[in-house]
Amino acid sequence: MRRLGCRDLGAFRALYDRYGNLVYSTVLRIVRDAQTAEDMVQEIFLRIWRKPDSYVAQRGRFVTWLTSVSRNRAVDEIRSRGRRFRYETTSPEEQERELPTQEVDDPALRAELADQRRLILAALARIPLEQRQIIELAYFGGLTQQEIAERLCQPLGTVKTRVRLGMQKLRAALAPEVRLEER
Amino acid sequence: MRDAFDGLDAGCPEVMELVDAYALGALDHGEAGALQRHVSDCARCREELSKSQRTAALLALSVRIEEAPSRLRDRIVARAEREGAEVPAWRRLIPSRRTSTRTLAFGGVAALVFAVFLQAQLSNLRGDKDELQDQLSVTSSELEQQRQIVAVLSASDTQKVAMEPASLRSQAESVYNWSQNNAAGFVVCRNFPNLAQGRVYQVWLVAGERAEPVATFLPQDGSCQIPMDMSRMNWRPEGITISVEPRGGNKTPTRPWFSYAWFNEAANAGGGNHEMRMGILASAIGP
Repeated sequence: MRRLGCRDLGAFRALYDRYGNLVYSTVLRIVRDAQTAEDMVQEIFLRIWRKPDSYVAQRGRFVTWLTSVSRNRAVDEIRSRGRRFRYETTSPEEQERELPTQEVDDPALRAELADQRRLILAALARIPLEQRQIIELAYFGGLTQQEIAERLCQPLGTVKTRVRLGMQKLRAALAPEVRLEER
Repeated sequence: MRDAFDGLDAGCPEVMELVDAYALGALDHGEAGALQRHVSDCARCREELSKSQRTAALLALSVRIEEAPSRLRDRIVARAEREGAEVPAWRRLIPSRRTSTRTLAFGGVAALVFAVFLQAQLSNLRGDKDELQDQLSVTSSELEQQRQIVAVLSASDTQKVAMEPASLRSQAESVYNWSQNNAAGFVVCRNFPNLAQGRVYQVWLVAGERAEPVATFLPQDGSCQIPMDMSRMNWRPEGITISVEPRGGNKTPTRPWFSYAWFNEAANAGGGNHEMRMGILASAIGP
């Protein structure tokens, strides 16, 4: 990132090679449209190119920051378009069977992300389906609790309770990972 | 839950029930605003929110990795190249844009000040020297302030964030604009209520428990423009706040804040509502 501050194009290429597929996958998961995802990946990377100090190391790992920025930008996009796509959640077991992190062009990072992904999917798998579904609709679907209640025809109070219970379990299960982020 | 917030600031128990939904970005605008107001002044809830945001941020790492089209890499790299590749060594030897802009701006102000000075000298012949010298002093100060504001507004990296009044009933509005390239910013405000005799508004830049005073002001007809020079600042603020203090300002702020904006709660941790993220995405780029 320091080299990006000197407008080092080689560093920018390396950054894309390392994280391009991860950002693309994060955005694609949310917008569900390859062309839109490509445009957004371009926007996210060029934003980093223009403002490399937008990442502050003291606040967590770069990869978590980057995926969060990607997720937030993608959610903003679907909200601004008012897209009413039907977001379908995939069970962690199904996701685990799908292709793991083979497309990240960095063996160490690939292994680290694969480990972390397994841990997160395992944590999600331990949460009851109805709670997990709501968490995913909020985080990846960009829906508010009210919208989730309407979409699932559930009382708002039920949705709020499920968010809290699900996140409590997730926080407990991922506490070691969160502590890693705080280092 | 919304009923509990009508006309009131949220308390800790209510906020604790909302932090997870906020971290997932699942609160509506009203609830998110109430939570932001509360955590701006409550370290315990802020810590709880931070943990929840860090957990939510990990969810993004659960996605199945897809391969992006190779043409996308070419497109992005080519675009970056067009926008400006590595700075050649010879360019590092010449003054930066910031230096040039400042020098030019200073030159412009100096010319204006000199013009007023000439006017003062001419008027001196008519015996108005003292009055015009006062005018010169005021004019050069105002020119300097305007120069700073124009420099920020015309910078290529200008960012802004709306500050929230702490009271839901307040009509006060304020916006903080800044340019990292210019190491300067300014606050504009309107609908700020008049204060009791002997009281002033004070602007602070804050990070954790640290709060550095920036300026004091009294609004004119409810409005203000407060330029801020941050060229000597060697730390990174997490927010900007305004408090009400005794005339002359305080060394430490009096709580609660009158209004505030936080730069970076969510950008590094995911979740959060849209408005907050906007401030924060900027933040990371903040002063």
